[in-house]
Amino acid sequence: MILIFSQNDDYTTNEVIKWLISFKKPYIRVHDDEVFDVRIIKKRILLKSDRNEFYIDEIDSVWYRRGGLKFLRLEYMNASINIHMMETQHWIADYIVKTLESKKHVNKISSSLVNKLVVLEIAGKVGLQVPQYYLSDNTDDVVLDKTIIKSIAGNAILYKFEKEKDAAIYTSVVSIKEKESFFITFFQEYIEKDFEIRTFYLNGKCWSTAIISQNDKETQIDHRHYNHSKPNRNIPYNLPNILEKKIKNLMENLDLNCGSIDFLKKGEEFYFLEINPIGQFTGHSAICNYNLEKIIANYL
Amino acid sequence: MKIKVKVKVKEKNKIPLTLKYLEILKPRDTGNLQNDIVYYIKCNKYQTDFYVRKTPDKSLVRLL
Repeated sequence: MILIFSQNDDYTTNEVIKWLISFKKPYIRVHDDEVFDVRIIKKRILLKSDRNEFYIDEIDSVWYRRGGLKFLRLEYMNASINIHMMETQHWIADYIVKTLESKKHVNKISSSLVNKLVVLEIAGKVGLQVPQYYLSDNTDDVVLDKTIIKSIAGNAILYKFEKEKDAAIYTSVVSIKEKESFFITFFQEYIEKDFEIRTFYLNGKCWSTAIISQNDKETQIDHRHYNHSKPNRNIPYNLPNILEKKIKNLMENLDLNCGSIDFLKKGEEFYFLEINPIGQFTGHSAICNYNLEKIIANYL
Repeated sequence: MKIKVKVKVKEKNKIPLTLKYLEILKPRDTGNLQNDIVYYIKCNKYQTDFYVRKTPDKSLVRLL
């Protein structure tokens, strides 16, 4: 049995499930709002929610797509009993998560959130070229128009920022000096790329797509400024073997076996930008004929 | 659609410079959506309440 952690509305999960059905592989899909009660039935651990019910020893492989595993926590009136029971329930939950993560898996709950700053440090250590970066609370050392700023947080969308409107934090080029100091911000050297590369990684293998985003002013700095009337051209791309080995080394260091990795290509250089372990890949999969959904379903 | 604005956020504490370069996203145009059209359906097969009923746009596969 395959266990999938995902969101109710995740399109990518549906696409992988289509292949699981085709391969006749049984699966359980867990939504991000499900809460599980832990029960013991004849010495076996049973997880039960409103939608699902399964023994953890029935699970052969796990795909952590998104969301997580939430447990029902009982509270107690006596404060000291409550503290003791919180810890007891924590260790039972921890045992279940660790048991599931010890099975065949595509990503894990415990390592799915990555710290961008740590990732950049490790990327440099494994020999990937990283544009120079630093943290600062002022623009004193900023070279205007040659420095970009990026969010340190993973989520770049601020939902309902202004009434019903959302806001986005895109990569931006710093064009003016600030008079006052601000909260710690991530600054990085602006690389005028030839094009971008997004690589999907799974268990040591890479599938890369070149995104020709430099010719369009809208997508020059951040290709997520999608130009819907004239989309960027995306084409399959082969990374040099030595670079793919470095990616494998980086992913192993971060305890990730799946993710999307962004690069910039300028001349002969490949500049590493970041990793997104839970990123979207169905678009590139379709355009480049990579069939990544089938590859994931086949592995599980 | 994006609207480029220099957002002035009033906060007691300092905010990162990235939040001064925020871009407000235009709300999705729901003018053509009709209440009697169901865009998502509940689907037991894929265990989701949001199965897309509309066929998604699919790019042409380039044969290179």
